[in-house]
Amino acid sequence: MADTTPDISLDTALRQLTEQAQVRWGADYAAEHTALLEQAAGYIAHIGRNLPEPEREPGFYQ
Amino acid sequence: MAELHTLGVSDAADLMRRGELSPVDYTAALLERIDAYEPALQAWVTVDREGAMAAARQREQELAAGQTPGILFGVPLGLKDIFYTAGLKTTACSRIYADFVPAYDATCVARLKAAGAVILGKAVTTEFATSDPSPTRNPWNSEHTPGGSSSGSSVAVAVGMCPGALGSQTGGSTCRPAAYNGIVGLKPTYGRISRYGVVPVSWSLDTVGILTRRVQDAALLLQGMAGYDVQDPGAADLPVPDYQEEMARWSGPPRLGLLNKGYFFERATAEVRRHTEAAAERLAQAGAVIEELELPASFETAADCQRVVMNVECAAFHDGWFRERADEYGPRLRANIEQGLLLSGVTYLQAQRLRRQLREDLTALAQGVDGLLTPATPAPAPRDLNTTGDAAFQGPWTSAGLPTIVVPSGLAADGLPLGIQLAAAPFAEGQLLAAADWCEAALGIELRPEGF
Repeated sequence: MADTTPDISLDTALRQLTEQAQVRWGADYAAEHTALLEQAAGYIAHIGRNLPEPEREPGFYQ
Repeated sequence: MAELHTLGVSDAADLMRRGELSPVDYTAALLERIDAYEPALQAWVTVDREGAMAAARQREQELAAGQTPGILFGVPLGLKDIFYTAGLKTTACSRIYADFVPAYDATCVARLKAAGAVILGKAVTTEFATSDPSPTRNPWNSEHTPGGSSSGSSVAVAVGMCPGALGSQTGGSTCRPAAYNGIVGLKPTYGRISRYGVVPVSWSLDTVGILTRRVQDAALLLQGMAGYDVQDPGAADLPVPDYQEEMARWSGPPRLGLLNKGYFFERATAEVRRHTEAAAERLAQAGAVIEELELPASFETAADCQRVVMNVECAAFHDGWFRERADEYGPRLRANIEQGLLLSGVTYLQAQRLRRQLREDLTALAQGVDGLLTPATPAPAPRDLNTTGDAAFQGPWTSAGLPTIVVPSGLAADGLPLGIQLAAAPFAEGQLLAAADWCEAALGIELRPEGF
């Protein structure tokens, strides 16, 4: 599973997502949907570089 | 009296309450207009002639019997085909819901009816209110997208098939098609209007939207629907102000924060940048105070967070059907769901945490002004029927849950409508509507597509 960690790179996220897609829908799907996977990897990497600041967070679910 | 199809919600309701216009005549006139233009525009999934005429006759009987007419007395409205209507098909323009007939009205639909509205029928949406284009045509130029997902509702209002309609917004689905069709689009604060009985895209983003030709009409529809609903866990348990009173209270020249640096102006075409600057200048000449503001750092991830949350929640809603019937989904929705299935729970929650910080930061920014001013869209409606256009100027506000409104501001060189967008702090709809109403008057722009 491609997790949003502070240091995840675009390439790592894309590799992990591609592996997941291969398991779920097969290698053909993953090969045909690279744009979709790249977009999702972009979200993960971008959010990973901009994670919330815990000290100013009001308390999630409070 | 003006031609019936040009009447707005407020004017029509006033005339009917005073007995100067018959709800039956008005409804019949709009049904005729639908008949005339529907073949070319394809704005409706279901036109409920019998139901609409029966409701109009009932309104006449209520008035004759001395009953106090509601604020939307006799006003015929369209509903995007994701709003549950008792006994009337609600298809979400999908194969999955193709034969679905709800047993009850959505809360907002029930409230519209209780306020006196007449439901004309169900307007075309993109499939499940997402991104696969609908067959609806843009009345300004049929080779350009009408936008989406509230395509039928927007076009129906733009050509006077109805004075108002309901849409919804998860990304940009109300304000973007409003801009592309030259009308007013209001996305209230998340939680202001109940979504009970509305087919969801994404529970933590979905907002009921309002489409009209005038700002005051959007205020009236909001008044008719706003308020807590125990059946919608996202509904805000806050009092609903009298929006007409609030608009009167804030009726002077507004203080507007122009967001002309970074995100919006970087993505807008040169024409849209010039147009927005010129609109701001006209507003300043009319007395508005224009202050140039900068977006907070948390805006950086706003669009990405909106996409992550929308796709994951969309995947959760469709998961059961999708396992068995994936081939019955359109390609863009299918891609959204598949992307949602691949994104992790951690990514989803990080996006939700960032949304909360974005909401706080944008609220602080908006609280210093009556409205934050941006272009409504990066460009006019694209000449491409394979897209619903770019929702980049709506997604961040939807993600933050702040209310926004689009007001027509002129025409682009290609003859298609352009608009400005105002945003306000959560639940400051009165202030937002007042600022938009003032801008509408100061700009003096009323758009109507040629031939309609």
